[in-house]
Amino acid sequence: MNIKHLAVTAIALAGLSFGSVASAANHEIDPSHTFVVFKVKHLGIGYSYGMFRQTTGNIDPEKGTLDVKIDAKSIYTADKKRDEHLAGPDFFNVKEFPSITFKAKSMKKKGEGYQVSGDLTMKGKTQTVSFMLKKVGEGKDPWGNQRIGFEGSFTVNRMDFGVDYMPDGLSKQIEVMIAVEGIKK
Amino acid sequence: MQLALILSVVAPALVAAALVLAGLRPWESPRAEGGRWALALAPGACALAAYMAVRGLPALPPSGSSDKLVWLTLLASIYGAAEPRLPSSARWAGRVLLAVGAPLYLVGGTDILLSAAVSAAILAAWAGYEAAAEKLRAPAAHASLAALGFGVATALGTSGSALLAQTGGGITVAATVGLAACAWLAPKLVSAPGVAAGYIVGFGSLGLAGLKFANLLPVAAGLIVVAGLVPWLFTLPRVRPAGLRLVLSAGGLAFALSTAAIASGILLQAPAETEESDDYDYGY
Repeated sequence: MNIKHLAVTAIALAGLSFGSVASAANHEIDPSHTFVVFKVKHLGIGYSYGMFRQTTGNIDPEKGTLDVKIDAKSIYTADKKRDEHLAGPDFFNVKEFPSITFKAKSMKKKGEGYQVSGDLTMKGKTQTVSFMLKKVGEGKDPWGNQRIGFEGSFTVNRMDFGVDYMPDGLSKQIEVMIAVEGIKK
Repeated sequence: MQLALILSVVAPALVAAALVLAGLRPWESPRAEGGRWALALAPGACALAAYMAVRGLPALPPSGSSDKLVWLTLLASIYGAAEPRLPSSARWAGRVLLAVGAPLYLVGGTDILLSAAVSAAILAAWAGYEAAAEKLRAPAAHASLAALGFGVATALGTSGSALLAQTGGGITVAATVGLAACAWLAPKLVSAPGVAAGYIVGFGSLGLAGLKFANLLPVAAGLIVVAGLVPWLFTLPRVRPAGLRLVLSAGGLAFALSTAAIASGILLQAPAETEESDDYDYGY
């Protein structure tokens, strides 16, 4: 191998290293491109969907940190009266418990993504939740910001968090789907 | 789900009836004296029954305001049942402790002014009820509690919380059954020390929860407070109607003020124009 080949190899290796460092950095969650969607069975007949529209936090896969704060008041189900009911004392009681938080305790690389385990806190109650966070992509946006994106899903039992109104009308198991984009700090 | 709604009324009615029968023992001859303890326990037991019909047993320790207010109402009712045995100085200390402690515990000290206002309203309503009960016949005093409860439960129904409304409804059922019991089984039973405890603390806690955590309008809450103070009118020396006029006056005035709370809640919350569906049925 001549010097030219060595130089090309060194540059290529440096580029790869730079790429991995870029994805390992701390990323601030972009609320405009982060979605927390949930699905619940209504009367055993059909599924109803909803989402929380305001999510903030940080994600650093290399350090294994994922801190998320969801504004509980931002709940949205395309029906104003239902949203008010869900935000009230019967369900999320957002005036007493304004935030839903998730703090990862471990985030281990697994294939294309990460196996995450952490504490989900809602209405003052904390439960451990584990899920696979799959990396969707990474790159620069038109404004020069380095972005990284993930998606994942998990199921929670709402009764464990005291969101227990209408135990017969709404399913206890709630599927939660998340799509996260983070902007490198 | 409709079954749960029906149960949230039937369950407290059955609990109240069972308590009244156990306390008044109408099958005994001569009829047993006393039974105040049953009327005192009724609001707390009925609030718990209404809550359990919809949501199961409230968490202990309480995990939120909805759990707290049920346990507070039960605690106040137990205190009310025990109060006649206490010396008068201890009674007032107990009342102040409940009236001040309940709002503070409910809102966690986050709104001191509002808690203080609710505490003052609880103490004033409590004293007014008992002063009126001494001068009026027991059914009349209980009628004002039943009317007040109707107003509280319905106003909370416009606050966006079916659970708070159902809990208030449970306490109202207790007052209504107590009214029927006093009028039919024991007209001489005086609703003296203790009976009002669970009702007043329960309604006060519900009103505070509605203001703080649901969308109960301040004007509706204010009218409810006024309704709770109506019994004071009947302690004034010049106001001494007698007999049926007395019952109608006390109950009617409280009811009128309570319906004003309901009307204001509905009117002020109704949107002038909406594109949204009116079909939301609270999931039923």
